Amino acid sequence: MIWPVLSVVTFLPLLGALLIMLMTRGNGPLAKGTARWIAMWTTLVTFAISLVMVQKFDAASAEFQFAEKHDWLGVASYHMGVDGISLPFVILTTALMPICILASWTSIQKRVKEYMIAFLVLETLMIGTFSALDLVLFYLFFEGGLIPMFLIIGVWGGQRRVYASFKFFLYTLAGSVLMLLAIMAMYWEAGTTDIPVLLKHGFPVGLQTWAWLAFFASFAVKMPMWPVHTWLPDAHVEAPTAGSVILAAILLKMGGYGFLRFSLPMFPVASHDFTPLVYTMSVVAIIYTSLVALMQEDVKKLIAYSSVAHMGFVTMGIFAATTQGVSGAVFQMISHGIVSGALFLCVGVVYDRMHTREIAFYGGLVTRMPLYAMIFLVFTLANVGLPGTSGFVGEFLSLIGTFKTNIPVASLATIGVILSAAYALWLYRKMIFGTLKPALEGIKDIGLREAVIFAPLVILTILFGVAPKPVLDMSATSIAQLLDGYNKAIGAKTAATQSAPASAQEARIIPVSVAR
Amino acid sequence: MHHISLSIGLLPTAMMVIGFVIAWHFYIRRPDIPVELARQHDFLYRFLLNKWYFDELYDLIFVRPAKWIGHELWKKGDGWLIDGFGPDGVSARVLDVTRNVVQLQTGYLYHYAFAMLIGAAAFITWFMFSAGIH
Repeated sequence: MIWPVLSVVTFLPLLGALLIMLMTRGNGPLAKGTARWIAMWTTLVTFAISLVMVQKFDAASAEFQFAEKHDWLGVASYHMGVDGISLPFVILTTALMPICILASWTSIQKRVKEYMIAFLVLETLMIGTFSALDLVLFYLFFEGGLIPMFLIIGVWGGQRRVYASFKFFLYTLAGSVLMLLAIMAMYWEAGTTDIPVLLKHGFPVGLQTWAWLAFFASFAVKMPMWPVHTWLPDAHVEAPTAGSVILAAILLKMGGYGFLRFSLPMFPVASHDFTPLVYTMSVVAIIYTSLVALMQEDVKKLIAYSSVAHMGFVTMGIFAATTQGVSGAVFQMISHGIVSGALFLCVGVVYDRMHTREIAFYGGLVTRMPLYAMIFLVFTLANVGLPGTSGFVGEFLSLIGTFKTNIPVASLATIGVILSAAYALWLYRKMIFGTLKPALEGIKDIGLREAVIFAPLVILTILFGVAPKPVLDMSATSIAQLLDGYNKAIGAKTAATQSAPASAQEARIIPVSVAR
Repeated sequence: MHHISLSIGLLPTAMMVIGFVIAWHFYIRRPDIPVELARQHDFLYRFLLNKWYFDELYDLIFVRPAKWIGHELWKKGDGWLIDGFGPDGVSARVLDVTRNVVQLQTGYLYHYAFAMLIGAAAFITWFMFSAGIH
């Protein structure tokens, strides 16, 4: 590679933010327009360049590609690169950003310049999180992303935005502080923070256990897993539409990505030991939050709770540690990024017109907004996991992958599939069908700008439902390598405990027995 | 294929014909008969009319409990337990503590001097005792 394509993709949005800062003054119509157009073109060009990576990516190799390494802090280096697990997330980010900018085109009128800057900075930090190959660099991007999101919720949010933004910030930060401690411990153990080196290092079992817990604290909050999910409904309800889209589609995926990049390959023995814990939390999340979603009165809250349930399938699939489970989890994350993002955009459409998210306020929209009703139906069914939509593939693969290792867990998780149909279809019935509410007489169907937003999402939802191969192929080799290393580590551990009774002392340190 | 006797094979057709005749008799020739039957067997009529009350049964067994559990988990589980003892509870306790600590700030110099003296005395005591042990 002659030019550092990954760094360009990562930092181009930051350049756009700088441009907005320099070229606009005040909040007049001209300044607003300039800020919007610069943001739009920056995100579009970033997306176009990220497609170059897709084209040049070698899916047959599990190595980190487009790698760049420069000395930076002494301890840490500026090391970037993507493999088959991180590239889909990078593309998801770059693809959704122009949609988010377009979705905020008219609904954001307050401090437009600052809003666009916040989104562009956030894009840089999100892409950086997925492509950082140094623990310190990763931590920087991972935590840095909190700040623009905190501002987006806190400044452009709804009525209880201050409560929601603080809850979001403190919740996620509390988890991440523990991760920082683990990063330091890993540095003193391995002597480097370089992720490719750490992946091959093989940490001692004692360190694995508590480093796993520390990383878990951070990723479980981010995911979010039950019972640390309560920041999500509040954050979603208060965030502006585009903020919700980014939150659901990309920020939540950082948790799952973290499990795949750190927990599973670096702490395989601990991951294996803690699998029952993750299974329990996933199954509880799937059933519990689905039931809670059933009773929500606020559309955004309902979709937020359904996100928690869907992330339960992801964690379950990841820790099943089978090929189907992990590739199902990756696919489910990408699919959920598209579908839940689109659902929040759907809510945004009616919110822009009526300024309420209360389900009881709506009813009979199909008579006034037939096109909207159709689009909403596609995403509702994708959220339910109807075959032929992208939601089905991820859910089905992660269930199959789990079934292979633990049948009761997979059986309980399927209850969530039924419940998701219940809450999603019920929501659709209440909002779209029934008699038209008098207040909705004059509501207009979606316009051209909104059609442009939804068109690619509808196409991708159905395309990935029918032909999921592009995503699955991209990540297949990396997942195979990940699971190969994982299984070798578990095999070595089991052999060691069986052959040498002397190592019983070591085995006592591990809380959960590995002999199963 | 298995051999099926002719009488069994003709049975569906025969049943259809019988049903056809009964329906024709009840609803076209003598529509007053079903009305009279429904009046005489009121309980049976309502049982069949309401599809064996299956919808109501499902509502009672699945729908209502699911709604109730969902509501309880939302208000009690998420609201009271997780938020109450988690983020909201912690922040409320922090506020309580700071509110009490603020009251210590009386502005009287002798209050501060007294607190310092107590602290110094406690520290010296602890130091002497711990030094004695080691």
